[in-house]
Amino acid sequence: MRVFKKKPKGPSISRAEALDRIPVKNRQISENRLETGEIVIGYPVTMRPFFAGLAKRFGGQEVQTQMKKLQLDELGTYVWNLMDGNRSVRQLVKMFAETHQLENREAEVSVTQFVRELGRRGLIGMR
Amino acid sequence: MMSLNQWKEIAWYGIRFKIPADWQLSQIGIRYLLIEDQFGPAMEVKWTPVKGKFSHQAHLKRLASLQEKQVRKSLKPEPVSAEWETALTHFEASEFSWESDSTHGRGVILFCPTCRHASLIQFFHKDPPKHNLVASNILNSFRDHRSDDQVLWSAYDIRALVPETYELKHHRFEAGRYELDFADRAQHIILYRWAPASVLLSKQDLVQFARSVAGFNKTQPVAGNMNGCDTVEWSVSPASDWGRWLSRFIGKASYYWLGIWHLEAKNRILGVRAEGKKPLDTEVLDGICSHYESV
Repeated sequence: MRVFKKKPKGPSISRAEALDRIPVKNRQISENRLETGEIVIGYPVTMRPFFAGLAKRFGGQEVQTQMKKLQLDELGTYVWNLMDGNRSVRQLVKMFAETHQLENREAEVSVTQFVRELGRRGLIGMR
Repeated sequence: MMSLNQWKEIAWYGIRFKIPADWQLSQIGIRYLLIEDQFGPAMEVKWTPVKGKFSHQAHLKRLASLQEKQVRKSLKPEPVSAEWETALTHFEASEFSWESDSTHGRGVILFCPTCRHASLIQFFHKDPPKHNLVASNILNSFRDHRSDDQVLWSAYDIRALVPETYELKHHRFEAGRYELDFADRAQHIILYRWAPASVLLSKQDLVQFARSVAGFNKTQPVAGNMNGCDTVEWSVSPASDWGRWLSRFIGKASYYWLGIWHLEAKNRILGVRAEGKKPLDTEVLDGICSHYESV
């Protein structure tokens, strides 16, 4: 029997498949537009039991979720506004590249990094 | 057939060639390039200077054994095809074909007797007839040296001509920011490209942007305009004879120069930074700045 077993990798998708996915915004988030036009997204985060315990001990109330905020910059706001639940990542990349006169590859790296970060924070899901 | 106008030039570490406009650089290393088309890897290039005698047969044999071990590719020497032979008149060439579980392709080993560089070019075939034509055109455009003591660097959307005494020390291609750092002994020349300029300059002007890039404390940046482009020039050097004399013995650079310019039509900002312990060669800097462009 192998003691140090490699973790099985999750199902991986190709680059083309990933680009064809459609980002969909989480319904639990709130959007607040600043005067500069940039967007601040409010989103709930489930607290870890240790911190929830501390909050209960010192605050007296049981807190399970906490609201966090994420302020997008000009480019992030542009991509966020493009996400309408119908456009694929590939379409976002194309529009981003055209608007900012970027090479497709550079736009793809920017947009996919941003989409990945939003997904990591639970602000979007992929369809 | 695609006209050569729809092709773009790649130039890196002394070699240069043209690829179809829709192919993209996927990996860049020291004397290594991997290029992709929309379906995945399309072409791979490796090159190196050669000391002493070069044997095509020995290198093919070595390559075959390496590839079989590392990537389970079987490699077979082939006679150089007629269309590739006409494309490769500047080189001593040997052709090979290769096959792995998932794909197959053709490649060449090239040796240039003039500059004594050996190059390995492999094509990943998915659509053989069209690819053969594309491959022939790429090989036809392939060169591994120039005759003017300059080295052409062309990757993504930047293109620069740098004296061959300057060696590339490090490179960075990040979304929004490209950086190529060249050095000739203690003198460094760093080429920058930022994009999109409209966003970077939406809350600050070019002078403020220059301040965010280089914090030279002793002097002030000077804004200007050249050929319709907004520019900023900023230089620092020891003010006194004593400072100049002392600068030779200090470990870090004492002479700095930064020039940045805004290409409004292309939505880019280009920059050249030079630093050294000795006074900077303005002729070299002028030459680099005049040839540095966004394509």
